[in-house]
Amino acid sequence: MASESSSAMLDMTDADSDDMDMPTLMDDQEPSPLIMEHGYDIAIKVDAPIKQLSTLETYVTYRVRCVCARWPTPPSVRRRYNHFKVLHKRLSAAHPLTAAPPAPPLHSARQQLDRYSASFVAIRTLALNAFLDRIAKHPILTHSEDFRLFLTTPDEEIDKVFRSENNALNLWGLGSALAYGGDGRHSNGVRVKDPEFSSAVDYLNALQDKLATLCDLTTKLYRGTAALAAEYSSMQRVCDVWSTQCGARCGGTQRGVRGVSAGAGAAGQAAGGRPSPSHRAVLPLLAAYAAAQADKIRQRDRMHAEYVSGTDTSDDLQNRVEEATEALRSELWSWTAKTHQDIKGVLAYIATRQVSVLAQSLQGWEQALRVATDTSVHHLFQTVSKNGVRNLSPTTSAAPHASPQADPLRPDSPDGTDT
Amino acid sequence: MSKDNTPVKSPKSPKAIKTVEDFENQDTLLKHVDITIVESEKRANGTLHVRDHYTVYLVDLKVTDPDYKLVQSKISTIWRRYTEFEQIHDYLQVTYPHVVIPPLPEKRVLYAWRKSDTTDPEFVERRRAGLENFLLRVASHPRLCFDDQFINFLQEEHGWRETITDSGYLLQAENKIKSLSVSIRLKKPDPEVESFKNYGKQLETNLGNFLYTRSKIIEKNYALCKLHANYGKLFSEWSVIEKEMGDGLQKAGHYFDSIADSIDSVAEDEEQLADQLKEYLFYAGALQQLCSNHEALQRNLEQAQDTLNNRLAERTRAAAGKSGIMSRLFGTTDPDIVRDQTTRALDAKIQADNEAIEKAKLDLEEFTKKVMVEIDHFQKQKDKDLHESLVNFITLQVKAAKRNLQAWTQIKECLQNMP
Repeated sequence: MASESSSAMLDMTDADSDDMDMPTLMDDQEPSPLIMEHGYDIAIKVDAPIKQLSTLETYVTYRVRCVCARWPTPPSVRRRYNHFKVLHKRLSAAHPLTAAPPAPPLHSARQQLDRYSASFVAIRTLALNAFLDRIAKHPILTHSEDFRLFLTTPDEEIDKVFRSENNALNLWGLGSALAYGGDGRHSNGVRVKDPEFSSAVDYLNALQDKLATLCDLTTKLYRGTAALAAEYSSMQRVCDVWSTQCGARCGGTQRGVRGVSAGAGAAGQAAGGRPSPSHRAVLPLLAAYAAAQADKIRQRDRMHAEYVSGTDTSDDLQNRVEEATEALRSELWSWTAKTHQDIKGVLAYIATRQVSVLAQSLQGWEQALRVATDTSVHHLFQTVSKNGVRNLSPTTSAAPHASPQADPLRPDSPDGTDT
Repeated sequence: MSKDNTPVKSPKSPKAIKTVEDFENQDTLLKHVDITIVESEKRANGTLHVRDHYTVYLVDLKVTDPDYKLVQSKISTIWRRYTEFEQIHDYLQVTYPHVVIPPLPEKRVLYAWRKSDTTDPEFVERRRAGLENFLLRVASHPRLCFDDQFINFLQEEHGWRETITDSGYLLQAENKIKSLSVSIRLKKPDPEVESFKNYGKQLETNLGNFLYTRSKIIEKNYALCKLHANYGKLFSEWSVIEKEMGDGLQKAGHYFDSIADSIDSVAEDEEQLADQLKEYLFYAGALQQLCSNHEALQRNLEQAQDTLNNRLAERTRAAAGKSGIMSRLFGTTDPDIVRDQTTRALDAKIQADNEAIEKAKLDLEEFTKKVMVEIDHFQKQKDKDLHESLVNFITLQVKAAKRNLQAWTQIKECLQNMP
């Protein structure tokens, strides 16, 4: 299954857990309002993971909220990972010609050790959200009965409807997949390569590669930035100690050192902010989705090859090939557009965050320059009006903490004045 | 050492300096000549072993004052290697114990954040600048700049090594090291000198910590910026397989590359600032050395006083007729003749002792006077220099932050403008 192969991408090291923004396991925030995007009649959100204990096992449940114009929906339901997995199986079985978005991968053996770690759960929450979101926005799958059941069945009854293992329905679904696979093996040798679809397969394969690299680089970027933040804090501490040891004749040095302390402090704060690990949820999912599409194309190619090889010349096969081809054509067109939007979303988040971190850093160093070159120490310690503070900092948005942030705590100001 | 074209000896003696203002108004060599180190060259001792390769630096001396007679010729250029600089530095250290001797640039690579050794072309260039700075510092110090050996260092190619060894500075240096290795416990340490010594120690520690944290920051920052080159490569490869997103990805890729490229010049500039701070790290050591020299003189005085006290006690015993060992063992007293003889001999010695004490006192007083002026001037210079270096450091950070912010803002725009 495509989703298993992408579990490698979500492989986590111990160092990960501190970098990223994590909602707490017991978080149950006030729900933000669900708004439907332009052109869609449904909106979905997955959030608020909670660890639940039952008689037999412990597991995490996720709150799923949905507003839809087509059916009445309860304000929120709770689902566990297995339910999502079953949903995916059912969708795949019910729509054999369409690739369903793959569910986020299972744990790798390593992750079993820490199934409840905050960062892992956070990433999975985001991934499940992306998963349901793609289903909701899919022209065919959104109308699926399984999907409706998933969203609307009350919590107490969900297990009866969505039993995970050994479900007869599941066996049937599996069976039909096997049937297709079996047919494919009969037509050896005859390979028909449609230029239209073969270039699509090439693109999908290349895209998976790009998405994997992007995910990896972004993880490194965030990790590197956090490491830098720690070093900036060290420098701030060193400068603070130095500045307190500067004596009467070292005014110039002290001003310089205080400046560096202020700058390093601001840079450390800016770089130390915790980014959302959305890239680790969305990008692997999109890559797996691309792989699933490629599989569907290969499936269709096999059918076509079979038809061409002439082993089964019934009209039925020809119809099936036509059906599959049409389904793929329309699917690929809209899939590519939506996937590009999703990729744009992730890139936009990364870029926006970097811009804000760097802007904060720049502001800090500019302020540091003022501290270091200011010959009259007086005005640093004046109380100023809020508007006066605004005038001191280059951007109006960061006003209250932008200016004399470094100084109110300094005990040894040369002229003894305090804020 | 007399030749026909021996330069005229400098008429000014540095003893006229009583205050810092005197200090600054004194004549210095630098007011009449220009000193630069133009270039460096690799030499080998004939063998091809890497060990026997060394670097020489071209010292260029240009007389800017047309009437100046002190130096032999208008222009002279001499090749000198690092060990010869060490020789002149050590010579100055023993010959002028009351002066804070300008330090040499580092012998081994300190606070390195990437693999480098003393044969690195970048390191050689930084050393060239450091050695030039050393010469300028010495040439602008009124007490040091007219020293014969120093002037010969600048002009006389051959035979300089012999003349400097002949001056016997090596022996003095070794003696000094021996005397300093005995820990000096003064009965009445001078509080001002003590405080300067502590000040020197603190400065050394603070600068050391600063240089360490700065090297950690540049190391991580460098790695982070070079990561952007991977983004650049990814995006430009990706843009090839995309239709609508291709343009945006490629443009963004270029900006990523620019970030990766920009860090190199920042690192170079910051390294120069680090060198300036290292100079003061070593200066702090020189200051402590100066205080140790003072302590040595004070110890001489205390020893002379101890000698006198012992002698006085001896004389009292002799006067009482109990000078010999016999009297201590058997309690006998000396006959009168012996008593008179020993007493008179001791009186002569006591007079010599008193004279020694007077001399030691005078030496110490003179030394202290000179030292106070010296330290005063040093502190003023140090405050100015460090303030400038730190301000330049902050300015560099502002520049780098601005550049990165600009690049990422452009990246964000390119990505947002993708269809």
